[in-house]
Amino acid sequence: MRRAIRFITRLYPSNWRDRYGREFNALLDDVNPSWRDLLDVLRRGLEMRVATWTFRKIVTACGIAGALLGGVLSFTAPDLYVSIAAIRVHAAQSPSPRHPTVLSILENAWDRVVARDSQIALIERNHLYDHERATRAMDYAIERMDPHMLFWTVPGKEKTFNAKPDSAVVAFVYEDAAKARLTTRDFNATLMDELTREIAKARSAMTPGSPAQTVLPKFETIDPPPAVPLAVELVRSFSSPNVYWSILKLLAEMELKHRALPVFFGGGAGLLVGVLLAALRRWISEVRERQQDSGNAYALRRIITEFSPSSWLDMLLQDVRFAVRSLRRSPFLACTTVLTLALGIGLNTGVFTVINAVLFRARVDRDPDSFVRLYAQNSTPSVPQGQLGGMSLADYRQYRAAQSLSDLAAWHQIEATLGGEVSGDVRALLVSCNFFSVYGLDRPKLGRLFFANECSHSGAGPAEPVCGGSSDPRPGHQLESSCVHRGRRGAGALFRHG
Amino acid sequence: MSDPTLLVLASLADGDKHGYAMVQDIQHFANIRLGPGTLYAAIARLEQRGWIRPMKSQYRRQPYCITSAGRRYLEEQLAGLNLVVKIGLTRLKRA
Repeated sequence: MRRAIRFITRLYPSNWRDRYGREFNALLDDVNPSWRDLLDVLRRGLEMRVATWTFRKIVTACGIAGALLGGVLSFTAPDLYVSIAAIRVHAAQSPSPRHPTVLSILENAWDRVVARDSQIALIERNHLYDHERATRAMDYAIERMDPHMLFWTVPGKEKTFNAKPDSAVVAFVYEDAAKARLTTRDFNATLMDELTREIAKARSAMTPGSPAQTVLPKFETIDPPPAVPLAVELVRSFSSPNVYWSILKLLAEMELKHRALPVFFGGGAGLLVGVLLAALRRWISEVRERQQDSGNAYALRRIITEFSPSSWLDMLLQDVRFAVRSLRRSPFLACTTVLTLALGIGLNTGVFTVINAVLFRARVDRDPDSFVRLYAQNSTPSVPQGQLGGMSLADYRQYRAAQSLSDLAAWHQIEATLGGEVSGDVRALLVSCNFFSVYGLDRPKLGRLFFANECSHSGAGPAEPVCGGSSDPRPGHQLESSCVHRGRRGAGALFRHG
Repeated sequence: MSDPTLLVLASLADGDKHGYAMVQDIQHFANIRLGPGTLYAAIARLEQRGWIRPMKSQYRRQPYCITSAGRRYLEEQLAGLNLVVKIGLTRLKRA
């Protein structure tokens, strides 16, 4: 468990791991971590990621998660169709007695719909479970039917009647779309008959003309639309407003409500991919059915072979088996291939790591995603569209005072003249006092950072070397030769600009 | 009172503690077991706000102490909670 939790801590931002990783591992060694701790660490890690990731990263991560969810639902859901119908409950006048009355009427009616005799009538009328009935007893067909009949109530919109069912929903899941729809319609009609009977019974039990009669609800049937594949319905249920509302509440609880947009956008796009996968699966099923209907159609079989996941897996396994056999026949070739691949992957990874660090990633140590570089755009009569370039010290101070960014550092590259062992012109940087803190550097590899008293005053102060142990305090003076040579990327020494 | 930041501050009000000691102390006085992720999320937040600070340590366990700002914040929050508790108890007695 400890190992799993330590693996999950990789989810945390690198600066968090640098700061708290050691003591966090010490805590894990002290406690006896359980699954709840693992989930706790996972949740907090995700929270931190969502809080620190950029819009693009959140969209990508949520998109992948949504697509995975949609894909798993699409490909694991059986080849079944679901048909849904509803009975709308019309509001009566007084709210208080209505809720229990409506519920009891609905429950009594549903009990009669799912009674054995009623189920047998439905199965026979709609020719359901023919195979089961041909091979086994009717009770087996009823047993199969039970989990496929669904009934639930949907709360009304008015808050005072939150628990009041505004609609009663009936659904039936079956392998044939047309039969699923017919049976659902039949269910709905049967339920409606039973409800009418229940209302009549309740009315007869009341005193004629009593005010209690006015609270009896009225029902209206809503016919089922064509049945849809179960996978599509499952994915669709994730795109309901209630799900998004729950996610929004969760984000608000984590103080991450402002990150809802990329989460919804990414998750929604991912689910859409899931729906497309489900649609693809449905299309494949239809093609397969058509093929069975029209005999041996070579073209259709080819489409199925290309798109069926099981065929992909078979082909992959065949390829793997063939590769293993070939490698066993010639071990020298196998070793050469493995070594070449290892060398190639290693080189590729190494080159990409260097290119990523040098070109793609901002060259700062702390939170590179939040790092931006500001340029001034200077327009001239010859270049009216403007040219990117450096900015003046006054501009820098203005931007820094505006506080649109958490901090702003400035630098300027100059040619400096050095004495000592290295004489002549070298490239150097004039930097603002906060340069290293913005850069994210806590400890230099060589020399020292600025002292607090060196940053206390502003103005055109003297330039001063910061690397090397014994800097010369006199203005504009010689630098230690060692710091010139060992400076980062050979760029020269670093200066403080007061 | 299940806010992890308040629980951590209340634990540190009694003296400097490292992570494991805080988990044990909070379980003892509030009967709430803070998960490692929740505890360190709270510690990071409190340290960022300047309400606690790390002490010098040569071992892997890192002790923390409450700052004066953290103490003030805790006092304010507990005073608010105390008022709610008093009013609630008074009303219960009356009912």
